[in-house]
Amino acid sequence: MTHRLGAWGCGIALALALAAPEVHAQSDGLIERGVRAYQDVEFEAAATLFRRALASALSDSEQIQALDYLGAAEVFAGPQRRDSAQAAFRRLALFDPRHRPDPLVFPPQVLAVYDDVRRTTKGVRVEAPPEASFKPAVEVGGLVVRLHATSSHEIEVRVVREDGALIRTLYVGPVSDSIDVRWNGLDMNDDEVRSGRYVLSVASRRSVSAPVVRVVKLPLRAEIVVPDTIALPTLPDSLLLPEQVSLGAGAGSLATGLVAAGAAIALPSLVAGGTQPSGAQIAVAGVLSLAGIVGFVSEPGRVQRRHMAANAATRAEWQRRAEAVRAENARRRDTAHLVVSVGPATVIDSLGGGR
Amino acid sequence: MTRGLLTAAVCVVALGSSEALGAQTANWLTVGAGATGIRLQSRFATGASSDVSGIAVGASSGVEFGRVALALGYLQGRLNADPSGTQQQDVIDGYALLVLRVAPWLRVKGGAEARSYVTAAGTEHFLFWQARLRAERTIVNPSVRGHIELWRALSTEVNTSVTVDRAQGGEVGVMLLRALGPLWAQLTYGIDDVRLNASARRQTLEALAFTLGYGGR
Repeated sequence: MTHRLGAWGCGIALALALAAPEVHAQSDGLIERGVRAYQDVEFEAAATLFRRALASALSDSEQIQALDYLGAAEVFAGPQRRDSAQAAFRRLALFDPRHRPDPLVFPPQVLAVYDDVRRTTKGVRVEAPPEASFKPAVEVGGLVVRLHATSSHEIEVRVVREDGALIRTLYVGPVSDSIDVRWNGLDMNDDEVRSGRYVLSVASRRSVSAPVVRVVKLPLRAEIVVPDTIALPTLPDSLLLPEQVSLGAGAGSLATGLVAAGAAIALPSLVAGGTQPSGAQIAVAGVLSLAGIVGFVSEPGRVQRRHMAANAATRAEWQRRAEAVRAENARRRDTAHLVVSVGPATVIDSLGGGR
Repeated sequence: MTRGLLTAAVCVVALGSSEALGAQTANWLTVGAGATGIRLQSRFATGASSDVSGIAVGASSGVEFGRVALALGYLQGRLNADPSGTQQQDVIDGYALLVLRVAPWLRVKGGAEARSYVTAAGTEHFLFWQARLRAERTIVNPSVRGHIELWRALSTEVNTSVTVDRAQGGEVGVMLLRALGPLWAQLTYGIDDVRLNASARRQTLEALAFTLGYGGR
């Protein structure tokens, strides 16, 4: 109430923003009033208050508390309200199969009705993670779904396509308390499923030959996530040096040798014009010319050997990088995994009635 | 005196060689020794001339610090007398040059070169303060290189009354390296031209040198 006054005081917008908590506050009040009415032995009024509370948004614990008291109030409202009591307890058993009304609060008469209803109610509560990521076909991992049964009965757990076509049957058999069912992302043929929408369906039967009384459907969205692979490195021709070298490659050597030889011959007249040189410069010029000729002949082969060695190193480096990329791609492909997103469960109930 | 200097030069070369051989990786140090055939032509305005030749031995060494180097050299030999009356004389030459590598193929040098002609009548000393330019390039990769070097004296000091008008020279050579491991061999031809006393006297020195060295390069 204080919240309500505060919200009005702060204006309409703030009141709208606080609308959701307001519902809880109202339902809290209904449950408290219902509990007081129950304790005052006003079972009709209590049942009415709990039904109104259940029509609003409640937390799990509030819903359980409201159903506990509603069922009990209906039990004490008289034999003509026994069906209503059973309906409330059936809803409670299906909502949380592990729950049992507190024997310190509720008398054995109420607990007996609840136990009877739970025993005859055949259904499961499905608990699944919102998302599971795993590598298909691996022994460990997968989408693990925990099924809590209201009472011992037969179930059949299957993964089907949206159009109902069977993908894989995960479990067929009895369940008494709870059971974990795992889907490893494979179909009936042990092939990995494709990305798409699927449904995990849990059908409950009283016995193997009995008709299905309840089906819980869990929508699944499967997506195969494959990490991007790296493109193999290319080896463009532009990176390779020519391995066929013409004689022209030695022209520089020849030119250098001849120029130096010419300089040797011209040196006396250049620095000491008018003298009679001894001719010793001819010897040096001859050696320089000879060196130029040797360079002209040998340089192409040397360049060719150098280019071939450089190309071999380039190819080896390219090969090494290509191998590294192949290994990395193989590693990435190996890390491909299936991501399964789980949606809210829907229930098709009363296919075969409560009993 | 002359014999003493020659002995000292040989000792320097031997010492440098042994240090280089011990260091093995001392590519910043180079030493060399060799023989040089020398020819000295002198001509005078009067028409007189002389043409003597002989053999000299010498040593050289270089220490390199990155792009800068110090080059030292010493040479000593004897020029025979000739029929024109020129006396037998010793020639002694030494230099100390600072070298700057301005490009992989180009070096600029600066320093002093001292030269003495020793005769029975006396000794004539020259001290050339000179600048040099050296270009070198590989001819046969990687073992044969050629070089051309030109120099000119910026100033010259002489211990006699002669005046030096101009002094310049040049050298062309070919070097074999790497093919011999740490050793290298070099053949050079050099020529210097010195004009004295308003061109009344001219001296031209030609040298054909063969040097065997170790280290550096």
